[in-house]
Amino acid sequence: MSRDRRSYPSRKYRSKRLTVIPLDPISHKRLRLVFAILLLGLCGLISRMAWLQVLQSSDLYARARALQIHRVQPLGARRTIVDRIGRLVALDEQRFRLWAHPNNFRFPGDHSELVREPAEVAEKISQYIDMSPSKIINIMGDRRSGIRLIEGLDADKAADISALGISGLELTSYLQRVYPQGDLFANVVGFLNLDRIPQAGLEQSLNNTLSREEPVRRLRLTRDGTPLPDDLAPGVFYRDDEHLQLTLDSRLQELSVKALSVAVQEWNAKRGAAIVMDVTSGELLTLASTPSYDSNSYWNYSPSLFREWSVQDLYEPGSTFKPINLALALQEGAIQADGTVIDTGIVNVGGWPIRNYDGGFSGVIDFPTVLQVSSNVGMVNAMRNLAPSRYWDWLHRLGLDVKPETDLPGALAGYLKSKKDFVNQPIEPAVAAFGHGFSLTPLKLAQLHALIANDGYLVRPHITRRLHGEELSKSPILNKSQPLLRSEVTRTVRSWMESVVEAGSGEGVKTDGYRIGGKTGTADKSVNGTYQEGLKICSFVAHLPVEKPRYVVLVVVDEPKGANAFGSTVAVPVAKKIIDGLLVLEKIPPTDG
Amino acid sequence: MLFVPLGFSANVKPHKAHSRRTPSKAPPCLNKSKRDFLNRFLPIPWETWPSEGRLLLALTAFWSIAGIFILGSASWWVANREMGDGAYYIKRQLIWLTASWGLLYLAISTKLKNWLKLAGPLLLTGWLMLVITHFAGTTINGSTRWLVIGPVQVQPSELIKPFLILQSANLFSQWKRINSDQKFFWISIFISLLLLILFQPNLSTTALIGTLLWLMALGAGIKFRQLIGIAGLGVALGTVSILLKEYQRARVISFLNPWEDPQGTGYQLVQSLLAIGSGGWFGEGYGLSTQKLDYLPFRSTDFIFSVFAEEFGFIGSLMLLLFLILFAFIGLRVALRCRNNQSKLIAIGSSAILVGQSMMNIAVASGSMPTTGLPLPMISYGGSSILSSLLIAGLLLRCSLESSGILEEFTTQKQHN
Repeated sequence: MSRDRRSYPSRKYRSKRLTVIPLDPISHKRLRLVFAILLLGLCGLISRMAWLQVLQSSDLYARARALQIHRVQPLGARRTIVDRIGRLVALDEQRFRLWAHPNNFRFPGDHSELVREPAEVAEKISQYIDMSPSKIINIMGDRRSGIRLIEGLDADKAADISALGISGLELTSYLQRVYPQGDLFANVVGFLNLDRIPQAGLEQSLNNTLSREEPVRRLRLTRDGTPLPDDLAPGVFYRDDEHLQLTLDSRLQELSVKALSVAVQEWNAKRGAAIVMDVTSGELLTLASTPSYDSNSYWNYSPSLFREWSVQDLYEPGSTFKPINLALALQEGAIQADGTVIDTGIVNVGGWPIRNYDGGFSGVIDFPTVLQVSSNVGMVNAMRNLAPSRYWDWLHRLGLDVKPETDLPGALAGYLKSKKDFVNQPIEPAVAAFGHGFSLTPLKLAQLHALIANDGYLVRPHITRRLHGEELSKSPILNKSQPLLRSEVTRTVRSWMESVVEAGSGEGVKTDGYRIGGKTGTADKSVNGTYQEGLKICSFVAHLPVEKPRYVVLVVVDEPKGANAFGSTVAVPVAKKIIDGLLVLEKIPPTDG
Repeated sequence: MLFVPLGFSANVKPHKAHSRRTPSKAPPCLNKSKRDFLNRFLPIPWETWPSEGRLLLALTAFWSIAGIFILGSASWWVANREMGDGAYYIKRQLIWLTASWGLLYLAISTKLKNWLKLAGPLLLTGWLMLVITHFAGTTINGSTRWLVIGPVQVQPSELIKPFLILQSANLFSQWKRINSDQKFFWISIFISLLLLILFQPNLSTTALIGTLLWLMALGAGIKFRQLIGIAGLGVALGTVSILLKEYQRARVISFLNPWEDPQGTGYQLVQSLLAIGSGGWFGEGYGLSTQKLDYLPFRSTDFIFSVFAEEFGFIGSLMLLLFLILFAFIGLRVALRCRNNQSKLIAIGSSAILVGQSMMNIAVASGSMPTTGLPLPMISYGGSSILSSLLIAGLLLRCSLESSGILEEFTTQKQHN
């Protein structure tokens, strides 16, 4: 080493003592070499950083963001539906699925290397999921991960299982639509299928309103899931808890369904429907239907039940349409309020004989009597005074052949012959006089009776009341500017209808202290254009209270069997029960005197 | 001021004239009386400090203060989560930093000659502490590195670093003069130190210290043949260690391709790369790292550079690396100016370990080296590390002060008075 340094000039440390080995000063080259090594390393690091932070930056940035940003997909929570008094009709409940991953089974405090046997875990959880340990072990089998043990656990049980702290058990939450009222509102509300896709009723028709506005959230999260305020769109956490309120009253609905079911069973009928409508607003307090189905277990029922026939099926209204015809004739001056008409028991129109339902005759009768005895011949004779084209115009103006403006799903337009046929075929206006030859939905009939009851206004029938705290319906009345009928006309027809309850076929709904107007109907049922022997539709419509009507009650029973099946025997008892309930629930005061 | 020896400041001036290298201008911010007051505490008056010394002091001060800010950003969120106090780590680091600056002051006030005398006994004490650690240490993350003394945890493997520099300076500067018994003794101490640290296990510190010893031997002028032989032996030792220890082997494999198992063995490195890469050119901004929010493990210690790089971007990383180049360069200048071989070796060793350890830390964080746990000097959280780093910086400063030659004259003058 000293030989290497011989050329170095400084020798001042060299001693003459032999024992001391001379020490050369450290070569500056070597020190610079050390620095050079460090410099080389640092330059390498600079290039490495340039590679990572300049060239690879966008890729790494994207990867980092992919890890940090979580897209929170909306669960698809839907709004709760309540009835007019706030009872729950449909709501979302959080349910849990329990998954097992046996390859990761550990109890709290276990060493991280240990894996518990499925049997040990099954023992611990069996009491929480109502399943025997052996069954749990069976389900798990030999699979090591991703085993679905059970579905539909409620939050309490999920919390219990979670509190066990067993690693390898995973709870995932999902929402389930629950209909606490069972089959009571199924015809109106509909249901969601297992994929939460609405299949019927309001769930389907108001899908957009019922779906919560939940945007896909993009949140930058910390690793433990805390969202960062960065890049957050305004309103990301906003969640409105508004529910949809129906106009239906579950108490009245329940009462109506029960009454209908009794009648449908008693008369071995095909089906029944009841509508209670507020005549001033078009709100439906009841839209009951039987047979119905349970939205919670829709799969057990025939899909034909999923449509509400009182809204979606047409029928010939028969005698319940007579008061409307009389109102039109009165409005046009074709008949006088105190006039009479002759009922000879049979009338020939264009070669067709038209008889009363019982084949009898009443002679010269006034119009209240026409309604009381439900005289077909009398009606034909009365409506003859109205020119068929005027008559058709009126039916058209009442919206018989257009789809009614309503929020009820699937509402249908009625069927009316073309004006040409109506005017040229004398039989058409003649059968129309007693409610045949055209068809409409029970809902439309209720709307037309509401027109009589509210002095000439067409209301918008609806069952949804408010959302976001605001009234949903635009304007409840469709022809706001002026009534279609004069108030004397409607008042007169109402008084005639009252006489039906006082002394006619509607006597069954007579209630002490209340003035009720009504009209029964027993219509022959046509299937594919021909009237079927013995197939009838029995119905009853009521207005109450007559002095200032607030409600129209319509009961329709389809295909009751039996010779004695008439509107008065089948539909009136049902209407009576509904009216009794309505008077109590709506606290309608009795008429004085 | 009463205790200021009369004529103290008056004596300074004549000596200033002797030294051509020292600039005569005092920092403009200090007026004369304040300067005099401060000079009382300095081993030589500020005016007579060599420019390297002044710059080194400034760089060290900047380094340690910037370190507090970087640590603050890296640790605040998690500290708030886990300790309920965001400043938890900063507070403790500030206490350690104060103590460490005290140590630095001690280092620059003590003659290198005395340090070199003390080096042997202190190193042997450190060796003993390592042995105790081996049997009675605290194990964190599977590694027995810490010794609990009263209320504090110390890491002997960190604390021995300055004494190792001093002792190897002792040894290598007079390599040819020392008899083989002594050589054998100290070399075996060095090797046993390395083995003790290796079996903690702490491969990174072993590698760092091994590299330091090798660089000092290189600087001292040991023959290249021997150096290459030793280096080969060291690499072989490291390889054997890696092959024997499964966790180290896994780390090496994951270092080669961290994306293969980003949730498992590659997790730390992947998170670190994501943090560094997210920084881009200009960084997310101070305090705005996302990866530090629990994604990145060891964000306050071994991977603190990744947080820094995410927040300050490539510009910031470049500044930090240029800072290290500057520091190494100043260290070299000090070493070149030193008047004796021991000081030269201390200077080069000190700058090599401070810069080299930073390099290794950054190399680990940026995936240029297998993942090992090594603190970033003066920035990472950890008392032992900061104590040791500032003591080393102090030794380097002392080398600079002694290199001017002023010190001897000044001390003599002082004694005469």
